[in-house]
Amino acid sequence: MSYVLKRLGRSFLTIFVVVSASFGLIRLLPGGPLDYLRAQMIQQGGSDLSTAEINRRIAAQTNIAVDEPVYVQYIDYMTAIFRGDFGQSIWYDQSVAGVIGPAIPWTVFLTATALFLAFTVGVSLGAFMAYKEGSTFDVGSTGVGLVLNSTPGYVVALLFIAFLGYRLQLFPTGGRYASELTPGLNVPFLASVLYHGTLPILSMAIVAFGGWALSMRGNSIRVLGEDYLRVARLRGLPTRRIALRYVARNAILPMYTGLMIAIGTVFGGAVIIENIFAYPGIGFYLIQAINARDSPLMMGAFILITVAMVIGITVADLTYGWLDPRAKGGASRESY
Amino acid sequence: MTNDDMGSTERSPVSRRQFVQALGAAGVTAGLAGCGGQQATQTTTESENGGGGADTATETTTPVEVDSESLALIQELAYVTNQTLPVLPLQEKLAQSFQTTDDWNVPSKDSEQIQTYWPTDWLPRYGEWTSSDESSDERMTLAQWAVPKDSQYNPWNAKNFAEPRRTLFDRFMNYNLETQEYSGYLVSDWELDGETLTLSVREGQTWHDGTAVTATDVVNQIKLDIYNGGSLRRFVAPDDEGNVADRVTATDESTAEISLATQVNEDILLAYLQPKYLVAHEETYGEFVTRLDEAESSDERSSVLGELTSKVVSEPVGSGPFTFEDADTQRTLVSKYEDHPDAANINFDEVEYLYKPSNQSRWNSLINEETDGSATLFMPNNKLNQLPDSVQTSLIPRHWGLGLLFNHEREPVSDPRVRKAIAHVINREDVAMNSGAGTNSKIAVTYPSGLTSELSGQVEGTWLDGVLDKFETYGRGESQTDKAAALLEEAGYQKQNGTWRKDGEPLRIPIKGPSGFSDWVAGAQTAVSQLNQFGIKSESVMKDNSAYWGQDYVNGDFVVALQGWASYENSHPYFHFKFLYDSSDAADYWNMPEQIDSPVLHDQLRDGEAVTPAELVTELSTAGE
Repeated sequence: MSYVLKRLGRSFLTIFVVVSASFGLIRLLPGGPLDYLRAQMIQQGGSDLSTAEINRRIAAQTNIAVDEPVYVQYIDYMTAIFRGDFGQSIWYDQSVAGVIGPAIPWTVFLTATALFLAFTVGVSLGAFMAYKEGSTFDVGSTGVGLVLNSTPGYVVALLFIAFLGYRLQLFPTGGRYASELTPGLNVPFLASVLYHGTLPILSMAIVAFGGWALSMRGNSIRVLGEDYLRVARLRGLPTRRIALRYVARNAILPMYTGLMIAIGTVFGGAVIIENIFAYPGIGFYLIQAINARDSPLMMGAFILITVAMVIGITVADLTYGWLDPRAKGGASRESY
Repeated sequence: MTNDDMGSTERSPVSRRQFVQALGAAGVTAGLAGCGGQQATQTTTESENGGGGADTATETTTPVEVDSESLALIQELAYVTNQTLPVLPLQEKLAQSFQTTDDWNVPSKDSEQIQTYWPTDWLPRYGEWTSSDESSDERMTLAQWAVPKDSQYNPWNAKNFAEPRRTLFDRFMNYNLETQEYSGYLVSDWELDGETLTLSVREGQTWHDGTAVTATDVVNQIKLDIYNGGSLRRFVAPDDEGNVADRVTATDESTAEISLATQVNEDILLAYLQPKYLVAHEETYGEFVTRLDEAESSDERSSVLGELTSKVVSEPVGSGPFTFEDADTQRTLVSKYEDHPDAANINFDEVEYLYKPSNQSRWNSLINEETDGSATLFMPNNKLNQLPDSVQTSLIPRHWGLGLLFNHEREPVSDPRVRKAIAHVINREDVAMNSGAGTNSKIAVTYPSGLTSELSGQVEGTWLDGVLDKFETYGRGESQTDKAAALLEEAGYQKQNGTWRKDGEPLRIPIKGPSGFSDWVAGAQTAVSQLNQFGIKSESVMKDNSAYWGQDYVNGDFVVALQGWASYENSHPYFHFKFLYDSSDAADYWNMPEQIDSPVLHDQLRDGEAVTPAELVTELSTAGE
């Protein structure tokens, strides 16, 4: 029990340190929202505020900014967070929760679907490769898996959007669903959501499944060489039972921590992909916030991503012992 | 373009224009020569109530009307700029504007109607951008920068003030960028009588909720702009915002009156009024106007302004030809407002604005014909080549462009001789060519003087008429290294081992700029390599956009910086010189001294070399009345 408390305490400490460091670092960023506005005005003709008005507002803001020392701002912010108040987004003039909240399901939809696809395809493929160890299929798949695993997701995303999106016009190049549809539980809407999500999801899944497949293959081959498998075969157990209960279970077990960490990235795993596909999720707003120097929104997104990650790792840690009784014994056996 | 054809005032504008366009889209030009002029003659007249004048496309080359007193002041300021180079104007920008022609009837790309700010705003209103008979396209598709669902339409908030504003709201007046003439629109007519400006509101215009557009709405719009720091304030209530309410009033349902604190040049007043959109709908903004009018202290006023500038209006009530329908993450949809006075000119029902947050996505959307046009978008040559033949590209003078800005408190550029040497070394044609990435959307400045209109030839034809030979070109298309060397030697530099040095220290010119402005970066790199070739140690230091504008630029932390060299908002020379000599940018960021020494052009205006240009700028604002 004391291990669980210690482990939770450490997670809280991690979150606290990350939040504090982000708070400090963000304050070191030069420029503010109005400077972004000025750049936007010049580049896009995007604002009708005149230079004189922008300058007047910058002057007005500088007067406001000097009133509280950084440590006071820090204490105020940290206490507000514990009350669940993430403040107001400067760029969107609404609460940070109001900006990020509606974006969460869309990001989770992309990342969770991609993870599910990559994991199931990867594990099945890995098992099959182990079963056919040494065959042309195994060698070929290993090669493909290696190549895909070392390709960054954004490269695939850019290729997809350039060819499947713009050239062949098979898929939409942005957005969550077609504007004509009414959101809700109706078939055309759900189909459109899937259609719009296809390229972003595939960009993430394609580069990830190779990794899962290779780990699964390695683990399976190791398990296949174990003595207890030989015993199982000698006992005349059915192949199906051996494959599922002996090989699969033991081969997947070491991947459990990796899976939990991957689940921890559901919020932060699609930052670049969302921007490439103009898909307004958490990562999309994070980049907007960074460009516009919208510090409350940046902090909100960072905190969300950090907390999800820490929860993923903590859950992996706390439950691993339950899954694998050999690892019981606490602090000396961490999984990361 | 050489300097030879500068003398002829009437011919050169035409020839330069045609030259540029011929360069531009070699194949497409043939079609235009025939139909452009004729089509252009018919359409503008009807909708022009106030400005009058320009009826035919050929008149675009007529010199801008200006009185002799103003002209002398403009020339003097231009001369001071030319001789002291507080900034070095490198190029003028032409906005590329795109229209698809297969489903749409639009004026040809070099016709006069296109020369407006912007075609997508005005052409549909005048019935000059219509859905063609054989087209099935009932909806015009354009692009917007911000996520539609996050867009808002409070101009005083300014953030995410998205493109649909252009169809939801009407501007006070229209302005032709080439002839520099105003014509009435929402403000259908105006009259300046001494210190009183009277504005007439267009008859029969209603808000989208059915209430009439009145002079009070126009007054509220102007008042909120003034309270928010808008530029009219210096003419209306220069000392105290407390009397704005008495000075901007509605005298009846359709007449608004502004009492000015001093006499002001009409062109300058109109320049401030013309671009305003009427947004101040009583129900949404009336409360702010009342509170600002009644505020008793400037603290009280700032707190009301704070509320106004953070207010988000996501479903606006406009009075333009299209009314707001809905917005999601991908597009904003607006539909035709049948009660708008110009609704009969519009033969399509809807406009949609698709979310296209990058130049790349906008290029591709035009190439795919997903969008039907773009008001202004920089498109490099390799992308232009991919455009289908049905998409026409017109070039619109922007009266603005990239310049090198000097920090007047930093060595070595605090010495005007060094600035001039830099000007001589830099080949502006090369800079413009590289910055334009194979397009003709950047034209090198011929006379660095703070005057714009390079495309139509008005710098030579109007502004500098008669005094042109006094002006230095600093070599538009060449590196005048001999002249630069002489100036540097005079300033105490010597060339040793290929590098210019003073007291053993090499002459260093670092150029800072915003990394996200790719055309500027290309221009700066060209200048840097030219300077290095000449023996000046130069480098380009590009920073993240927000960091550049928010730190380096505003803190004056630069020796040479990239910045537009003319007023971004208006094209009359007054605004350019005001920006250069009488703006917070000049005083606070570039550390411009108030008084400088410069040779005299018109000795009736100045005696002696010492001059305070800001005073001339103020004189110009009231000249000619």
